Amino acid sequence: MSVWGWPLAIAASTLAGLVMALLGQGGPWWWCAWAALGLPLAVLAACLIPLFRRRRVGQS
Amino acid sequence: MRFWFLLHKWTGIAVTALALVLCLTGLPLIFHDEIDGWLDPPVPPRALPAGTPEMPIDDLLALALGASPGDVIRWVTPGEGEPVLHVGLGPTPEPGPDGRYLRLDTRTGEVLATPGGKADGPLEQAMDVIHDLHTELLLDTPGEIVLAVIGVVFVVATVSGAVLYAPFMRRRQFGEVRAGRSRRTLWLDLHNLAGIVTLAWVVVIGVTGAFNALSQIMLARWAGTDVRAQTAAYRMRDAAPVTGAALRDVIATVEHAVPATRVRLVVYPNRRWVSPHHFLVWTWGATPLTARLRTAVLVDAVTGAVTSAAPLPWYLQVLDVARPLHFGDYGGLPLKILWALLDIATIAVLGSGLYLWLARRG
Repeated sequence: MSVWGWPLAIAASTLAGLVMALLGQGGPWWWCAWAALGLPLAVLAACLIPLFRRRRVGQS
Repeated sequence: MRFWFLLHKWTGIAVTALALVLCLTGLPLIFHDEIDGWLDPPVPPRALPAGTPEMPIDDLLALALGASPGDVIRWVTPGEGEPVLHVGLGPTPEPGPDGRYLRLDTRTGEVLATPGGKADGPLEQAMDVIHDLHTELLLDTPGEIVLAVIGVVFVVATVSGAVLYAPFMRRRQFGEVRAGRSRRTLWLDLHNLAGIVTLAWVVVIGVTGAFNALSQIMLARWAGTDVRAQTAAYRMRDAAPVTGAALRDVIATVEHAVPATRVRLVVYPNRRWVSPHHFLVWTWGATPLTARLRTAVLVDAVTGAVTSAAPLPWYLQVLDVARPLHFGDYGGLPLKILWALLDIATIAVLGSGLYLWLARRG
């Protein structure tokens, strides 16, 4: 289950974001949709930024 | 697991090239409203005191015809949230590339021209090619069928990749990227990471893309079956398109026949699409739940009476929901930017998958 914890949370957030943007009429619904759909990108960035930093330090 | 590995490998190989084309062409299409607005900026309606009455819609149509001598009206769309009427015209009632489009101020009847626009310049032509490449691979109906198949195979490749993710990550932490190992290991970890975080979005885009690819075929099927049955009583009449009913009355009749909806498009009678004896009036629901769902109302073009207001078949209702979920144009500019970033992440998944396959072969 631990393998699927993060992937399931990200998938649920993505689907919730798609539905919130679809059914909401702007305002807080859209803000929530943007946050929910931004989660996969934020997780990707959080995993990659340290990698790029390490590589940069390694090069210098 | 070998089955899933082979399935992922071969479905991936089968779709990667075309999926890359679709992701790359989809990127500018996400922002097509903004790009179109920049290439051909619309003239805003004149600032007039609040409460300035609007002209009768049939008078506006007469002005549109006067501004486009020799043409007939093909379609009419009321402006959304602005005092503007959009009117499509052409030399014949049948839709085609020879049409033109006018915007009229509904209070003054003034034609809102586009001074200094870059319409039909090389950039607009490039956008048209990108659009046609993305929606039909420049192949018309065969291209649409190929794209629908590609959409399904793309989803199979994605799901089989997700099945492989669990054994791959059994002894690792989520998000771990082994940068100190070989280049292939680094790309494999990046492929798995980007693939798993974009999984749900990619599946939605793939499924809705397959549906959208078949939209013209679905509409043609609906017109050839349901609409044909609803207009059977008119088949013996003269096939020349006729109009007699005033559009104001047509719209009022439709709004009465299908309450809690808004008229968004009126297609004039023509021989190619639906019926030469009917206005085809598309209405959208007025609540958040129904706002994406259309109703098609056929109105007798002479008497103005409603011939049919049957609900759309299930496949067109699914298409109505699939459209925004594929385009990402339903949640403001921030949603479009997120769409573009997720698209770029998907390009990275496809590119890394291609690299891994080539590296394995090498």
